[in-house]
Amino acid sequence: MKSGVYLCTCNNLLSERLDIARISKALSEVPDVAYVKTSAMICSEEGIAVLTKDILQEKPARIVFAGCSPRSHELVFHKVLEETGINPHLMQIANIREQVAWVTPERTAATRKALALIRAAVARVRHHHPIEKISVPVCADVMVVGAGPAGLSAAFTLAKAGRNVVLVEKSASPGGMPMRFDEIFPDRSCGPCLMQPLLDAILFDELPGTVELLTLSQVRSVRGSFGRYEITVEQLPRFVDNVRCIGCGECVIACPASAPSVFNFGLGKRKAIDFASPGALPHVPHIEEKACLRGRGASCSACRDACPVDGAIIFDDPVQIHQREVGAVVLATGASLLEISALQGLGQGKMPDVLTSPAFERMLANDGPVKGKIRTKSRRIPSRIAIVHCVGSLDEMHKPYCSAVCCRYALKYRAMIRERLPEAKIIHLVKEWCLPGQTAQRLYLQAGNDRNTKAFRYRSLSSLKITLSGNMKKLSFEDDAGKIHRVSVDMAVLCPAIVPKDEAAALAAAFGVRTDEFGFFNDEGVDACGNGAAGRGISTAGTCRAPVDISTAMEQGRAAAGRLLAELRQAATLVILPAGVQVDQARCSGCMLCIQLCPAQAIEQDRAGKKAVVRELLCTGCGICVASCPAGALHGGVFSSEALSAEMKGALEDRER
Amino acid sequence: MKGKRKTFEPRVVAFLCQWCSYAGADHAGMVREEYPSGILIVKVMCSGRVDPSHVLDAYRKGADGVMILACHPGVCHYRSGNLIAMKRYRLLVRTLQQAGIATERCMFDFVSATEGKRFAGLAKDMAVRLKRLGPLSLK
Repeated sequence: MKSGVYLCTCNNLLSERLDIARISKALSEVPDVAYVKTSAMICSEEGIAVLTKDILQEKPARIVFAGCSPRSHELVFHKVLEETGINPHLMQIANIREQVAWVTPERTAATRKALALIRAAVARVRHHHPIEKISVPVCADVMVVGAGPAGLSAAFTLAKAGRNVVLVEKSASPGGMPMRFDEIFPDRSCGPCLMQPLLDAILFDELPGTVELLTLSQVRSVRGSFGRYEITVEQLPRFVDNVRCIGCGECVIACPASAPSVFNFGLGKRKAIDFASPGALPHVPHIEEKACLRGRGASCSACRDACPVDGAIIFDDPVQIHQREVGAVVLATGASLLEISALQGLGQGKMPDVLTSPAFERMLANDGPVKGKIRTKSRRIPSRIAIVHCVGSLDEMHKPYCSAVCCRYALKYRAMIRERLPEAKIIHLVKEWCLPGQTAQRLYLQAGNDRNTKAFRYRSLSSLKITLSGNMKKLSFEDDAGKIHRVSVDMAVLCPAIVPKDEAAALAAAFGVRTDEFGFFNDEGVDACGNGAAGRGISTAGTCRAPVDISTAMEQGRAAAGRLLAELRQAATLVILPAGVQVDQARCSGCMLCIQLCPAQAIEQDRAGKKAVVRELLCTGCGICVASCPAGALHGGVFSSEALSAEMKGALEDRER
Repeated sequence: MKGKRKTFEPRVVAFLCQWCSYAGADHAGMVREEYPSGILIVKVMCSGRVDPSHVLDAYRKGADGVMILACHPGVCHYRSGNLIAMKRYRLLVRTLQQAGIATERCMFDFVSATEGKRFAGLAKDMAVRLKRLGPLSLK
């Protein structure tokens, strides 16, 4: 198995430092060398043309290039080999410029070293075997988990690009958090209005790809890998037929049962059968089993009796299990807020008029439970309102990070309160201000111009106490100079830290996505090797990754879609050049150590669960598994142990001392 | 042999990973940082590819010393191949002790793509140490 050796003098520069003639002569005496050809500049257009012609003529079994670093031209030479019909793995490059000529001043020593490295390459390349491209069948469809702004943006982008999307949403209706926000910073535009075009397009438009929306649904199990995931989704019953229901709402009026409204964060009630929200799309209600009298054994049928359409209400609607095959996934499951009712000294959940920000959002909403009227529980108009930022954020005891959006929405509250209550005194309590970008300052300056608004820095949550005193809430806190302040307010709005959802850990485990110390998804893979989950076709977008605002969440959704469109090309198969790492099944002892160590999660158990198998689509050829296998059952492709051993032999054989 | 020690140029097999340390060695070339010519570089994709058996193989084939250079902790392109390599190195050192091979003949360190001068420094240090120890002779 002889090699054709191509020696480049780098425009004769190397000839100054190396005795090229001597190298050439010594190489032609090596048994494994078929021929040695010297060129002034192989990488030039002319040089490539000459090289191509030469290879076609000589048809060497292996090829060795000696010249500059493989980091310069490895891919160029790969291409030449492909064009001349030689498998690109059948070459090796000896670096005699950066790693010899430029670092070895003495000509004899440099020549000797160059010769050693070229001989090493010649010895090694004999152990390179052709590795053919393979076709892996894939599914171009994508699953998007979460139908909030990030998920909807991803789904829309994918569907517009012609991909079929399965959109899985846990709640009864898509849209996510913005559906609850009457106004959104910085322009105080309306949340449901912002989501409407996306929802319209996905629900009602004819997009190139189909979007299958599964509401009341959650992912239960994930099998397979990039290109071919098999995902099981559990869908809870709606008890209302999506197609037959005309959205008249007669059932809601007739329903005798009610429960606290989850959508309104406990503010106000919803009927057992009700729309998820006033502007919910599709405009179809659902029955909350726990609130429904039938759920408690009674035989109520008020809703069905009131319904003008036969068969729209289905009492025996079953739980459904859906199996979907997709090639890639976008996780856009959103985030939650720190539960602060247990926090000592804040009184949230115990005292009236101490609200968390989402409850305050629903109070402010014109379509909300109190139609946007800011009133205390005893129906008074508050004359002093405190807004406490950083509740649980920037706090060693809770979350050390900033939750990114609270200052901006708190300033939004100030503007909305001011509009509705011109005389109210507003106090912002802030640990740190966070106002990134061009538009946030505008809200801050408006607050600064409002003579009835003050801001204080408070030192820590532990020094903040809210107590009840008659009708008023007394707030005491230590400012950052250590001085104690006491203010009396009618209402306090607390802005809790943004935290991952309770189900995030289970989802991360199911999809094999790494999380950070706080539980946010953190696996995008920063390097080109694509070793993050995104390299395996699982992208993340929105607040499930980190606290971000709505526009950023939407951008991340589009970006996740874009990335998947590039990596999971629309085709029945993906053609790839594998790295060549394989398991010798005869030697594999089934210890599965390699599976744990693989950074790309490219190794899996075979169907019988007894041996390891490499998934060529994901393998990056790093070889960590090869070195770890106690049975020596893994073959390292072009970096096999035989190749490395031969390379060392070739390098050290030179006995001239 | 007469005069052998005077002309002893140690030969070192240096396993460098494609992404960081190999690029670091290239960088040494780019900034013309010289180092002894006995340093023979073997490129691997990741330092985690290096098996202790390769190191012993190197000694058997005539290397006086072995270097394993990896990406700095936290930036391995294959997540933590460099940390796996480091753990293996620590075990390897114990094996070398038992085999009666001076542990200075095998070194492990971290080199990034912009640390050409540092790579050259590590190579020079290695050569100095090996010159003091003399050529390796295995029974």
